[in-house]
Amino acid sequence: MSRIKLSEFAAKSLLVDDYAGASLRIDSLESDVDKLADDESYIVKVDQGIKKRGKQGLIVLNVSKENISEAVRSLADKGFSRFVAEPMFPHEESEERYVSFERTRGGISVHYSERGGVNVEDNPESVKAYAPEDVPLPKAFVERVLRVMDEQHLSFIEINPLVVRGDNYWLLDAAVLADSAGEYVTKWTEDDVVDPHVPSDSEAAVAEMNQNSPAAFSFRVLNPDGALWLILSGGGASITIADEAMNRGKADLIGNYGEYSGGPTTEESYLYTKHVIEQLLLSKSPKKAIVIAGGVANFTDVKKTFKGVIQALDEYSDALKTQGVKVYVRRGGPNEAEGLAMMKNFLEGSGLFGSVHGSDILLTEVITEALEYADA
Amino acid sequence: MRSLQDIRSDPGRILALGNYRPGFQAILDFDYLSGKSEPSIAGIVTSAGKFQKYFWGEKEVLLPCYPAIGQAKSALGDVEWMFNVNSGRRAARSTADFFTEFPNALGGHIFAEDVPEKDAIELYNKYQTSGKTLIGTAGVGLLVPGYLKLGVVGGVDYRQLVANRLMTPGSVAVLSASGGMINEIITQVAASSHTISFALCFGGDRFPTTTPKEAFLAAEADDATTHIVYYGELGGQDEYELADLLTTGQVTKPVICYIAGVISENFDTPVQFGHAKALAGNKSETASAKRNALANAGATVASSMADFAKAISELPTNTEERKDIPVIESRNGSLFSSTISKEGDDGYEFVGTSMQAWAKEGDIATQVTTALLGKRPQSVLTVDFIRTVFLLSADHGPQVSGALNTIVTARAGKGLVDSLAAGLLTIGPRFGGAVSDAANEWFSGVTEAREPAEHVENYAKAKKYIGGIGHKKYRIGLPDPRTTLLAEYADRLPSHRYFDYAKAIEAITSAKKGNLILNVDGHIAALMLDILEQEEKYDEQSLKQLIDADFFNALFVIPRTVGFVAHYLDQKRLDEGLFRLPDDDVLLA
Repeated sequence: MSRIKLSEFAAKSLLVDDYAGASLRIDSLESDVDKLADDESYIVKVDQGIKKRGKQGLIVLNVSKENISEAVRSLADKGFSRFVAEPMFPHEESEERYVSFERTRGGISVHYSERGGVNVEDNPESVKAYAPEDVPLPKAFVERVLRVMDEQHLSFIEINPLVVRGDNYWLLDAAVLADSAGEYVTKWTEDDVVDPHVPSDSEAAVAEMNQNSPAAFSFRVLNPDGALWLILSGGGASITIADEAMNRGKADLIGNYGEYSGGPTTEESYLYTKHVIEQLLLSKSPKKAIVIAGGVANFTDVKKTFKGVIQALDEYSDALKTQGVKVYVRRGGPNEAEGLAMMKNFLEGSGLFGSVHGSDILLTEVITEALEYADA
Repeated sequence: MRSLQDIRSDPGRILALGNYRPGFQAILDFDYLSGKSEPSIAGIVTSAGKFQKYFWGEKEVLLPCYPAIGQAKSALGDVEWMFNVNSGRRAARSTADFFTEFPNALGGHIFAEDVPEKDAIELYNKYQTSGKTLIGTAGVGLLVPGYLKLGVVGGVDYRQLVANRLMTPGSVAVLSASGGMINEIITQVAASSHTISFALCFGGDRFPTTTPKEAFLAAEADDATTHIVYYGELGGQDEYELADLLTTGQVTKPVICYIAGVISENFDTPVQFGHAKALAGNKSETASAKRNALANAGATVASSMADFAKAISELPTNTEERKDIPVIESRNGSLFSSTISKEGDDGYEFVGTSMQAWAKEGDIATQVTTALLGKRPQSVLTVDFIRTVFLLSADHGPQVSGALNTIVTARAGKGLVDSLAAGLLTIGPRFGGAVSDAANEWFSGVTEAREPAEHVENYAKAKKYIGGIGHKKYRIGLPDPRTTLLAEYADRLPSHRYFDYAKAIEAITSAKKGNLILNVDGHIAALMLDILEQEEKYDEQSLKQLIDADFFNALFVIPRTVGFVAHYLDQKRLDEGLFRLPDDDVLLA
């Protein structure tokens, strides 16, 4: 149940009947624009989950329908691919309200301010917490939001600004975090998920692996020219190991964060390792080390997963040797002794050997060893 | 949350939901190594098989499997715990089903990741707050050394359990958001000569069904626990509740903790780490802020793993170990399983009773019925019926093809086994094998609620015979005396829907043609189904399984074997020589 960001277009389509906006993509721009009504003035925005778009110049105001394509292309030149256009809604700044809804253990918690729009940041004290039935907003609106949150597995909704006139309401901007675990029943799909981060090839490949497996995979490049490349197992152990580099003041040397867990197969372990290696080979760092580490697994089979890891290391061993990469290993769990012996044997034979340890050394000591090599 | 002391005094039994062999095996290993007399897993709810084989020490045992929770309940009676390994989307529903069937259960563990937030909150509100101990989601469960292992916590390799002395009750409580780190910490605790009072992983989700606060209060209330070791992560506000427990004196036992995720503070935009909860949305959710809060409340907060390990090693040590832990040396899986017979203390045992006892009991019908069902029949009516069927089916004359083949083979000079085999191998769809077919007819008609007229019509259209209908000689007005005898069994049953269905079919077919009556095979099939359902309490699924296994034809094969052997011996006595068909009897076309 991770919380993932939906596009503004998807958010409004869920929250508003007959939403008059359209989602625009570069490769289908003309037909996307055709969906909009003719006699309106439009606002065009980058729709990739980015905050404070106004300040960054990612919004174009008062665009006629024929000029939408041009406005989109000017935004696309800044490196964006996904946009939303909707009719301008004339209103006074004093009408702008702020409201957010969040799922908590105690129910849906509502925060509301009469000073919405850009003013809310300057007046954080104006934002007050409410029970959903007490917030001074039209009942139909609140009920609608609660129902959509429930049915569509939404965890957080922020509407700012919101304009209310009598029983009518207009959502000028809406940000939504959805619960990824609910996707199998919801109207929104993977295609509605936005990430302000533009993924590298390896990141995209790992994200796809994660989608298509009962095991879990994540990979995020932190520094493309990093020296330490991490192939880590387990959500907790992976942060703890990354923390250790931070503790030693070497966080900047970390190339990536990521982890694989939940009993991946040999083939999946091979693919994951391959994607990390491909990213590592692009790094311009003069010295590089691979850290293959994890805690003492409860159920992930060390031998089975290491078999896949070794297969990928073997495939790239020439390139890795050319770049002077060394491999440092610390792992425990089912079939620990067999898996480690296999790994040690391979690394020594291929000239990539840095060190191989089991649960006899502390989880984080492997980072010390890798840093001694890569930070020399 | 249930008190740890109560769990130790009565650990209870577990019903497993779903398939996860290594996880279930590890629980049996833990039970075995802890000196329990039987596995704590009482059964498994899965559609994969009737039984599954697991090791109990070096030997194997069978765990019963049930296709639905309700069936597990009828077969097993009450269990105390659920171990739910179903997928995230099925977790909430199957958990609710479990507590509906087992309202008195103490709780359970949900292993799945990807349980929707909404479901997790509902589960918490419905069960945890009403006194159940529900652990998960996306965690590895609860381990009470020597007493209960509910989940993969502590490992799935029994060598891990042994190495970390998890059969020995101890004094350090290990509580963790991370499933991997809890085992890492357990390993550290054990490696530095300490033992564990209990280990609980609430999981890395945003809304765990047991909160860290509840786990801390359980540790405080537990007499065996002297120290608490805690692993937490960035994200969420749980640590502020824990700090509050310490400052208000609700938790007085010393706490050593590590809160992971300071690395996140090195990046401008929040990074989602491995666990769903592990994302700091604001400053109070960062690892540093939570470390400060816990340190101010009096906890020992480690700034690195090395510090954490050092603080753990400085706890009062305990090298005691249970002396009676058995050793597992070799495990060889068996090639097949049998529940029918074994060699017991009392000689050979056949379906639960020694051969001498069978002999003393002196009733072959009871023995055969028990053998066919794989267990003792519950009703004498079942045995009576099978006895009647056997007595009626021993032989139907030398002209029928099975007997004829036995006779021809005997006259060709072959021995007993060859001649009998020739007769038996003749049994099939046209001769003697119709009891199973008939059972299938009546069963599918009744369970699919098909109108008898429609059933007959389907066969007429397909130009096929209905199994169990029709006789060469007997007809309406000239009833088969054997079926009259069999039909009396219907009067001894409280109800008989299969027999009624078969009779309704007969009413239609015999109206069309007088000899299309319900024959002996049809009677046997219908009445056997009714007796198994009414007297032996078989459900539809069990009946279907018997039909698929050709059980009903056994009711013909066994008695007819007597007839074939009789014909063989008769031919040997008469000694007529080789049989050859007279030329006139063959049309050479």
